[in-house]
Amino acid sequence: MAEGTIKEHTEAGEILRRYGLAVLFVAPYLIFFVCFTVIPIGMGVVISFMDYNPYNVGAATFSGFKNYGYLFNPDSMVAKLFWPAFGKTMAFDLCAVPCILIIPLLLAILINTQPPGYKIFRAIIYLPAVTSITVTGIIFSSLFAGDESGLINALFHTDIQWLNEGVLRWAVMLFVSIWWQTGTNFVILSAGLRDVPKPLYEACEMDGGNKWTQFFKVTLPNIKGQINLCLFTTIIGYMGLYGQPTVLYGSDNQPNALAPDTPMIMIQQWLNDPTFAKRTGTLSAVAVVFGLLTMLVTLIEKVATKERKRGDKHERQFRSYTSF
Amino acid sequence: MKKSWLLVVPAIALLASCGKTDASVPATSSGAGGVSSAADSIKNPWWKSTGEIKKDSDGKVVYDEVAVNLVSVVSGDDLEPFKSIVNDFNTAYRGKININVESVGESSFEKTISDRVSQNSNPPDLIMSHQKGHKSFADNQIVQPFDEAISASGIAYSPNDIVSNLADDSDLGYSGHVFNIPVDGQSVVLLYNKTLMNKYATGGKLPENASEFQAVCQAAKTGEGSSFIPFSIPVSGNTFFQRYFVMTSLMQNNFAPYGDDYKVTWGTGNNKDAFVKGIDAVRNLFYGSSPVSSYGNGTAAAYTSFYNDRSLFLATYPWEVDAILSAYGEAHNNMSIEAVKSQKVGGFSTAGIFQADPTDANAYKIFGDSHAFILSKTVTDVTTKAACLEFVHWFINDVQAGIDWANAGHISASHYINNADAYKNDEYVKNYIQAYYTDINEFVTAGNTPYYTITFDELNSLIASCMDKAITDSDISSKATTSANKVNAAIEFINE
Repeated sequence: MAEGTIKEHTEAGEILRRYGLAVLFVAPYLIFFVCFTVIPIGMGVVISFMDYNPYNVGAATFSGFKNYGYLFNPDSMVAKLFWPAFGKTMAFDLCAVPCILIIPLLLAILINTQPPGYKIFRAIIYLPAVTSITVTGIIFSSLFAGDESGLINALFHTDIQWLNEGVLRWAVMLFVSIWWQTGTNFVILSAGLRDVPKPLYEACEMDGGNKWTQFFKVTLPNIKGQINLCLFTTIIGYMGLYGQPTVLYGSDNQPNALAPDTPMIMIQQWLNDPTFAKRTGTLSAVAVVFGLLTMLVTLIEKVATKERKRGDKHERQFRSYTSF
Repeated sequence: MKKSWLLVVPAIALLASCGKTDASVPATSSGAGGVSSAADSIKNPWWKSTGEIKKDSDGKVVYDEVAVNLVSVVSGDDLEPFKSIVNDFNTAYRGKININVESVGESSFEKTISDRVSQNSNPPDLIMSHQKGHKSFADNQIVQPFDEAISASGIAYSPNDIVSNLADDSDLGYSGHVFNIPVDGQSVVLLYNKTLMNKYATGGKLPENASEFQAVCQAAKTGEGSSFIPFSIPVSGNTFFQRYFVMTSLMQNNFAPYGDDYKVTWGTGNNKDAFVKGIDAVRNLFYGSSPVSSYGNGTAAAYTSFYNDRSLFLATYPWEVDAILSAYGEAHNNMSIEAVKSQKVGGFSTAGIFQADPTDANAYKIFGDSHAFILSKTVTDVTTKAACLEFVHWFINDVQAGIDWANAGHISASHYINNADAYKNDEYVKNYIQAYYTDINEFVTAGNTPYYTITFDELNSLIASCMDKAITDSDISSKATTSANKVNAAIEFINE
């Protein structure tokens, strides 16, 4: 018995010795992560199965999948608002994400050639990324205002309602997104480009490869990790599009809970309006479904960009090498 | 390794996309009593009372350093005047009651207050905000009525002390209770150029109805040349255009924003005709056979035109008038504000300018907002409740407070103040406030609807979409029907 206890104590001590320090280092983040991310998400999922009013919690009742039913009933108001908003977001993402990848990549390649003054250009390209979306909104609202205070209209003596017309407004948002986000991806891709081994370019050149061949056969494969990272974060970021449509609107399209631009705006508007307090359960269901859709899109992205060969290629090569 | 990565990816995506949202779902205190529907009486009060009121030999409540936290939606140019009025009260009640003012912006006011009260996290005691949001406060059990404070303190307050069209909403749909104490009204106001008015109005007399208004605008347009804009109004970047200006036109043309069941009928029957007429009355200013205004101007263009005597009328917020008068003086050899007021710029009203028939019962209606006081449910001490009521009672009975608040652009809703000679004879009240709001009894607000945000946000969007030059009456009717269906569907969904 005593021997068993000593053995248990020894095992516990061993576990503590082995993992204690790691747990200690991880604990601060873990506590916040659990308290402010895991639990709220869990609560959101639970609430999505209830009729729930945050101002009258005592009256909350279990409602099964009713809240999810609204999303998939075409006659429901929720479906009529959510799916068009989701569609608009996806359409915007299809335009925005490639632009926000290709433009920084081209700029990074250009800067990587180290032309005169490249350090200044590098700083200028990154500069917009440090501004907040609120500041960005003020700058571009001033530029694209539809009245005489709009700098672009004033410059060209035009009367274009940039922020009132539907397609024009989305085009402005695309332009703003490119301006704002290029710097972030540019930094990541620049770092990747600097790490591409120079001998590979020389080898390619010796094998008769021109600049295009070098780009497609050397550069791209070697910064694939960075491209995938940029693609992943940009897709997630733009699925949750919120800032740009919130700060860029004209007098004709003031925020309206019955005409949300994107799912995130729909969620925030409903959440901020006590009129919808009785529908917090439905709102949670919308958030959960939207989260699942985001997961689905990112999964598709990961599957589409994964290596056709097995990913442990280098590990297998190393094993075969060391097995001699 | 690869498979586990595939699980991590969606997990991160889920956190990134909906984590923030779900985290925002407010946790709340434990459940309250049963909720009464709008038309019901309150069966299970959700508020509590503790303590007893002490009274002196005269029967007046004894206050001993009672601190009251007042959260107000007032946050613009009128915030400082409001704080000054509260300071006057604090001085008068030194050692008894002290009101601390906190300002919360309109866009997040209802959510912020609802969360703070329901979570009992730094809740206000007294709330001053637009009356239109108070029905939602009551239905969500965020506020309590003043009933107990009135009965226990002996402070003589009755809804009859307030103009009836505003006081009618005091019960917020809970018959027999006093939840709401309205104190003022504000809407879009007009300024006019006295020199031009004397030149073009028949006998220098201010227009009194829509046809006289059109006549003086047309005369000024003809007399002053093509670049002259008789009626200057900032549209771009100004929410008051839809919220107040066009709404006033709709109300003058007998439009009803919603019915008894809160549903809307914007696209059917007489209400559709009223809507089209109201919209057309505004559109005629911009697109009539001889337009008198320019649609799409921003604030700078509209104001500059007025400063340079290139407009006869200017539409603006009442709390911006002082700044406008000052700027007008600067543009005219640095005239003093007093000189501008006496010689150059007068106050005028939107009453009657949109209704062709001046004998119509609604011809002189003005649509706007009314600030009202309401008591948070978190106030349990009955003396604190009485102290809140004491301040509100003072606000609607202290004539100087009424004058000061009127000078900040708000007409008093109190009969006592409106009838006081000092108020009536105040230069600003006499020449501007009473000119802006010709008859406070004609002042109307959004009233009591728990769905005011969805109703009026959609109405504002509808109004904006009807201002396009190419729109026809048929298009307006069609848009009104579509919008009405959306609002009604939303109301049904919320109540399902």
